[in-house]
Amino acid sequence: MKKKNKVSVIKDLKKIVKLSGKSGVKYIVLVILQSAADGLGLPIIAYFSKYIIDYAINKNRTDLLISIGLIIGQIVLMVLNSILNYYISKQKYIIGMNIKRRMFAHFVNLPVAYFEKAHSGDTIARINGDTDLFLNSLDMVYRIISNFMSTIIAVPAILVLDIRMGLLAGIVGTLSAYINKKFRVPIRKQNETLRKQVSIVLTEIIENISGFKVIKTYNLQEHFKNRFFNKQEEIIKTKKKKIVYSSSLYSLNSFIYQFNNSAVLIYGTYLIIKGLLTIGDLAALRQLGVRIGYLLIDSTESFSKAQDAFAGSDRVLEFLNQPVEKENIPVSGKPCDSLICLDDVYFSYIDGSEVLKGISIDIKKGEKVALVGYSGHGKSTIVKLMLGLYDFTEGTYTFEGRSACDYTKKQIRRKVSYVSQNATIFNGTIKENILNGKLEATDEEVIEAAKKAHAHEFIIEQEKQYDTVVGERGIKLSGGQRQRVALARAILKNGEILILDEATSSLDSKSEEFIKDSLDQFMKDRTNIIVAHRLSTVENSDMIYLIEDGRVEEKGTHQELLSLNGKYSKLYYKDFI
Amino acid sequence: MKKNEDKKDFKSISHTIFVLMSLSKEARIWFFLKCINGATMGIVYGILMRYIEYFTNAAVNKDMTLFKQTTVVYLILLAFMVLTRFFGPFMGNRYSMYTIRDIKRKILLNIHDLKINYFDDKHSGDIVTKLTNDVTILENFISNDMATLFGYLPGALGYAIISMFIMNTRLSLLVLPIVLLASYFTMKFSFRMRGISNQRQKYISNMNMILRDILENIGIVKIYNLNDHYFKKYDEELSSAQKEENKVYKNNQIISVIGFMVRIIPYVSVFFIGIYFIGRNQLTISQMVGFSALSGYSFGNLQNLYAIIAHAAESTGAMDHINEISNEKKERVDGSDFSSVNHADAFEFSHVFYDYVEGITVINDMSFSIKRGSKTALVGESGCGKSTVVKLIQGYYDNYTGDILINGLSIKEWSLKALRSNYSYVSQDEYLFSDSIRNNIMYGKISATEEEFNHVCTVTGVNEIAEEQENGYDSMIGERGVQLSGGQRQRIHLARALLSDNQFILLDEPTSSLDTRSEYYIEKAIQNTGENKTIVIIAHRLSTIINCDDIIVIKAGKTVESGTHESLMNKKGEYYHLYNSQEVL
Repeated sequence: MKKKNKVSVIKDLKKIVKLSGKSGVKYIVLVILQSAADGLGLPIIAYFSKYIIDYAINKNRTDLLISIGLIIGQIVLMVLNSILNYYISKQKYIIGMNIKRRMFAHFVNLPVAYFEKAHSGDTIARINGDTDLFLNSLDMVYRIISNFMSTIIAVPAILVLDIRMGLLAGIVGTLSAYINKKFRVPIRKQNETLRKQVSIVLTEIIENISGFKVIKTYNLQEHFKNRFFNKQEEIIKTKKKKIVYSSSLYSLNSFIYQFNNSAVLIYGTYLIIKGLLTIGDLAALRQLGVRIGYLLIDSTESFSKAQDAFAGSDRVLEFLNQPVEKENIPVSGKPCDSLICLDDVYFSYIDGSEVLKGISIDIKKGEKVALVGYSGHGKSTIVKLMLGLYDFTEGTYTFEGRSACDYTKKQIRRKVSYVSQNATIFNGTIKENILNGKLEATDEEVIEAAKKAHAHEFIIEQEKQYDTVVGERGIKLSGGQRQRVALARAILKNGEILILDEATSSLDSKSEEFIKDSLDQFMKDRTNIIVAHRLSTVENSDMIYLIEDGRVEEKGTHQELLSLNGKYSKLYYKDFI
Repeated sequence: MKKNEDKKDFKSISHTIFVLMSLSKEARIWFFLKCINGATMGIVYGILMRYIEYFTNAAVNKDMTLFKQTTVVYLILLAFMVLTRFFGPFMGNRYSMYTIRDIKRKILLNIHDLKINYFDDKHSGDIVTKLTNDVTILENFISNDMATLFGYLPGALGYAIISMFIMNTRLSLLVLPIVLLASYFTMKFSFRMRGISNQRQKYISNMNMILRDILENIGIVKIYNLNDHYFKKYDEELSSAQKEENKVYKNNQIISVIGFMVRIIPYVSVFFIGIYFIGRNQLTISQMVGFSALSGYSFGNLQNLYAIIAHAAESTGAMDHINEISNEKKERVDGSDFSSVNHADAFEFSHVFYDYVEGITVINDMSFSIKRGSKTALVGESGCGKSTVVKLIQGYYDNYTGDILINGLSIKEWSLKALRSNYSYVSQDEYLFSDSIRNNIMYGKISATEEEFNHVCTVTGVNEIAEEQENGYDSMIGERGVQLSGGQRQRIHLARALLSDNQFILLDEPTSSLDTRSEYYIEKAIQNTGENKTIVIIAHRLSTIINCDDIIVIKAGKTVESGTHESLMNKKGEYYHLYNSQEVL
């Protein structure tokens, strides 16, 4: 990957507006107004000092009146300022909400393949840390605009008082801008590295949390501690480099600032002694000159600081630019009157490893079809392709006689009740988990489904029954209980196609026996696809596909396959070697 | 009441700051240096402000010699100041860098010290929040404000206020009440930030929990079209978090208005009061100008101080949230190692009761013993307490009653670390790290030789898995081993457990999710483990346990029968029923 060396501020600002939309524009308008009000305060106070000191010396009543008028003006501005400030904060808060919403909406719509590639730590780092950095960049925009406004208001004010001091401020500003420009690119680059490393460290921690029990049981604390510390040391290295740059920049800037301050004071005093300036003028000049010098330096510095924030925006944009899951499965279908027809399907992971090598499968409505074979040979991948979780590399897919691409993925998925091997359930109550099958279902329907899945028995034994919280990944339930909740969810969904992906393997014999009856009942009048490696569960299927190494090795009914005396019968008799 | 709360807030804010200062030596040194640097700067800068009076004096009197003298001293001071200031940022950045590192380290070490069953009740999303959002808030405070609060501000304010009193006591006394009043209100509003901040972080935690849940269950989210549902849930938490955020903004607004008044009112009054004094010949013009400059300097810094206090309160909220984890009960570290004690019974339960949560009894007066070197099966319905038994003997829970003896000694006398080093444990859904196949297995025994490694891989058939992968054993398998199938993952778990080669082997339904080939490997591996291993196996497929030396049948947290397969079958009791229901399938 080649990185462009040029860092364009305008481009970055455009990105920010792009990310924050309408509220971003509102935000900027408000900031401009507020900055104007704020900026006016500076010459007002400066002129106030001038007139009040002049009054102290000359006792001219007009001077006193002017200075009182200026103070009243300042108070009015302050009120205005506060009101505007409140609205600015509010806009920022709206933008923050919108961007987090957008990130999350994008996140839930990413394809499954993304999650198999990216570690959850990276995703969390982007949704949390990087959006926060993006919001920081709004503050930077605020600072840049506010500095700019204050400067253009203060410059005429200083020029009116004394043109030489104005020029001095100009020189200081230019010098500072030049220095800051030099630093901008390396700082941006270091920040990009840093953000990446931060997400690596977060990933480390998540590994420590997810693998917590393994670490404990194998006493790996020391090892993982060192691993984490080492990753941190890498961050420290980058940070140290960054510190050299950013601190030098800061120090240089403050040097220029001090130089400017002192020049105004010393040169101003000199002019007074020479009779070219009044004491009141100097008080005003000092305030204006100091402020302008500061503003110029601060705006160039905030450009540099903004690089940090912009690095976050980049990662946010990068995330938002990840293609979301396609609406449909972009595969055409061959004419076919079965419910599901897969023809000559190939599938490879992005890294090139080929999983399916020309699979053809035909599932008629109301049939019970089994996919059997060894673990890791592509059975589950076929199901994932049918559900649109993976994208086809090659092949055709006909669903209800029409090309799969005529349907949205949502339409296809709506028709499917799916139960997976690991019985993935969510943190929340048992009821919430079952409701995930059909969000608008009534309590009766939930209980009905739980009864069918033989989950009701154990649920009512819990203290809080259906409102029992199951913990992250259902950790508080036993494997069999989890599986039954997952089954209840599938039953509640009542899809016309039932897919059991090794679904009954972790049930104990008693649960399995119970479930068998209700499952048989549920499987009636439905198309059933069963993925299994335990052949006993699929003997009575209408069609069995033996999948090996990404191909259909044998197919037929149980009896047909046994009489073939091929791989199926070997598998059936557990005939190894 | 209210006052006490304020006091409490003040205490905990100071505590937070204290913690932030006392993390590691590196952080402390840099913090100290930065404070000295800041204080020097604050004082020198104040002195420079004082020179405005002398310059004005020279200007009023049109005294060129005085002007030249003042300029020389001023420039020397300036040079010193610039030099001091030059090193400040280096020190401050170093300090904040080390502090953030140390906080994260502390969180990690705290995680490692947690009880092994901690995540049974607590969601990991919460810890993720502590590590990301909370640390970010602290980072902002540390890098910008901490050292300023203890270095620069005391120096600057101390010098400025003392000088003001020396310059003109009466003028100073007149300005002071305004400042004190404003300070009082600022403190009040600032302290509110702590509660708001803590509350907000809690909502953010909830958001992260949803995030984690989806990350782990993305397939189901898609198939069940739950995207919108979870979006709504997330949105609710987000709105609540933002409402708190809005409170932060409002509070900040008030504080900044007060700060503004603190800057402007005294500044203006100095002139009006000053002119009055000049009229009575108690003050000169140059004194007034000098005083106003110095007061501008100190009031500006006061405004700064208020903002920092508000940030400190906000950071304390975040720190409270982080500290929740270090306040969690830690796993005990006492006890001794009885690994080499040779007792006839490897495990013994005697009248053990255990409630998972109050009122829900999982283990209900259970007694049994398991002989050293035997192979024992625990059978029973799902949810009857089998897995809990296996967890109890690994020291997961300590709030049981009765006795659990390992090698004849109560678990309570064992060191938990030593105890665990005796187990090779395989369960249904053990975690695989986002790492290579090799490393995941090596976690069983980090010091294992290549030979030992190859041996377990052959025994478990992991070598076959590796051959199919592009990079062999060095192939990365993704978070939770997502790039492998269930059977492949289980074989890697097993290889990891076998490599650890400990005297007690615990298998919690190890073959339930396996295809026949993987099952074959696992059964073969179990059969080939050494003579002196004690094996406890939980299984619901009775075929895998028929040839165990002893079978313990558990029902509703109690042992109801035990014996060999034959004796239990002859007894026609609970086991007989279980076995027959299996036959039905």
